Amino acid sequence: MITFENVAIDFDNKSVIQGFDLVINKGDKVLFKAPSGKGKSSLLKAVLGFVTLSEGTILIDQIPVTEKTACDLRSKVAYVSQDVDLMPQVARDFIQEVYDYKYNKHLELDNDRLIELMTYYELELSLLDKNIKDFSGGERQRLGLVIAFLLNREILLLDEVTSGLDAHLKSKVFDYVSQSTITAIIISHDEIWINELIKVVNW
Amino acid sequence: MGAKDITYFSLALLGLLILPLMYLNVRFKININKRILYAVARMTIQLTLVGLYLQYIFKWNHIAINILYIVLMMLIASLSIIKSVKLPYKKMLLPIFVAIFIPTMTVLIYFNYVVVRATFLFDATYLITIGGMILGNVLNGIIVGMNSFYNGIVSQEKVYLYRLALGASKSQAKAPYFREAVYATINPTIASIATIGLIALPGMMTGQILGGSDPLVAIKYQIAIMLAIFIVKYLTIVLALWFCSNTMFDGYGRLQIHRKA
Repeated sequence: MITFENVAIDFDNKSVIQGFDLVINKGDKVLFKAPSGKGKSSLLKAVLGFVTLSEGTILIDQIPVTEKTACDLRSKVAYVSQDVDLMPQVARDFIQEVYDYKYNKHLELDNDRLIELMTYYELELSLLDKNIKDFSGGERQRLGLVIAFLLNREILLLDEVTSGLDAHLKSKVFDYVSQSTITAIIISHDEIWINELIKVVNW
Repeated sequence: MGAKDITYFSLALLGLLILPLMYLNVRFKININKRILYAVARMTIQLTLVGLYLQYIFKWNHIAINILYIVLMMLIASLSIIKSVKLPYKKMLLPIFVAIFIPTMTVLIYFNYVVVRATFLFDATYLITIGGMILGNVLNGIIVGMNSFYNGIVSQEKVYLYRLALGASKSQAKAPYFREAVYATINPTIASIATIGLIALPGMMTGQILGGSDPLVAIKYQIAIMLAIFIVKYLTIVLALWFCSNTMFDGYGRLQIHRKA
């Protein structure tokens, strides 16, 4: 469950968003719809603690995101952005590295699931042995999605993840997200997310 | 023994050789003559002053003065690192100073006690000369290393934050930039250790030979000083990055310190 309480964000003393209140219950999928520059991405980053609130609180499962709790809370969240930016290294090594991260120590890489997800998102398995720097933008984006789902997080934050994908893959991402039990916040200009399974929050 | 003294007049004669270069600069429209004059003037004044007070420091050779002098050198080194990397003085002075102090002092004392076997551990002859050489080299290395670390995280901020988002601890997310910084600091030293003597005779060795030392003694000192520089550089950048971590980053893992324009 994610709660936004009277959230305000400023950049360089200019208010981007203020007085934002929202409760997202477990399993809900919410689409943020607002003109650009109105703080959609900033709100997602604030959930991870990458953007500081000038007012208000964000709570994940009733725990406020603060300097002390942020790292622990991130282990409940998976974040995928439009341009998944990664260090040049072999994909498989990167995936293994993610499992070696401090807050993922309790998880174990499920190879069958990895293959299943790669196949679902139409990524050739040979890509696993390729360097990420040789991936196309779309492949990197889908790898980001695969890792996000692989980690089995409770909350999914998707920032324009379908924008670079073709219609067929867009609907695959939509199906996967909308049918899962995950709590999700989606930012997207893609029509595909306008659906009765998704709650739209406008501002 | 010692090198033959050269007169101030003959020194000035060498300085005259700069004049043709300055003429060429005018011809080539290289706008650098002012800086050359400023740099040469500064060097002359600085070194004259150093020569004057080193005379007294070597004459007194008092433990408190020697240590005070070396601490002062470290303080100036810390200040120039912070200035050069454009970090805020208030927050960074203490961590940088301590990061320089611990390895430099340890290696200097070890050097004087174990290598030179000096009877007086804080003898100005070794403490200040070797200390000065180490600090001069450490200064450059740490500037390169801190710049590499800072630029790495700023230019790859997205990658860095993404790793945090994926569950990396702060030190795990910083690790690649930490490795790069250590590498950038020590790599030139490794290269110069490997080629020393082939391309250029190092200054210290030349100085000792001019001063009347046996070249075989001079090379031993040269090897010792190269190793000392390498060790201090390595430890200082590691400590500097550790100590700065708390001040440079907030609890969210974001870079907190922004460089002055």
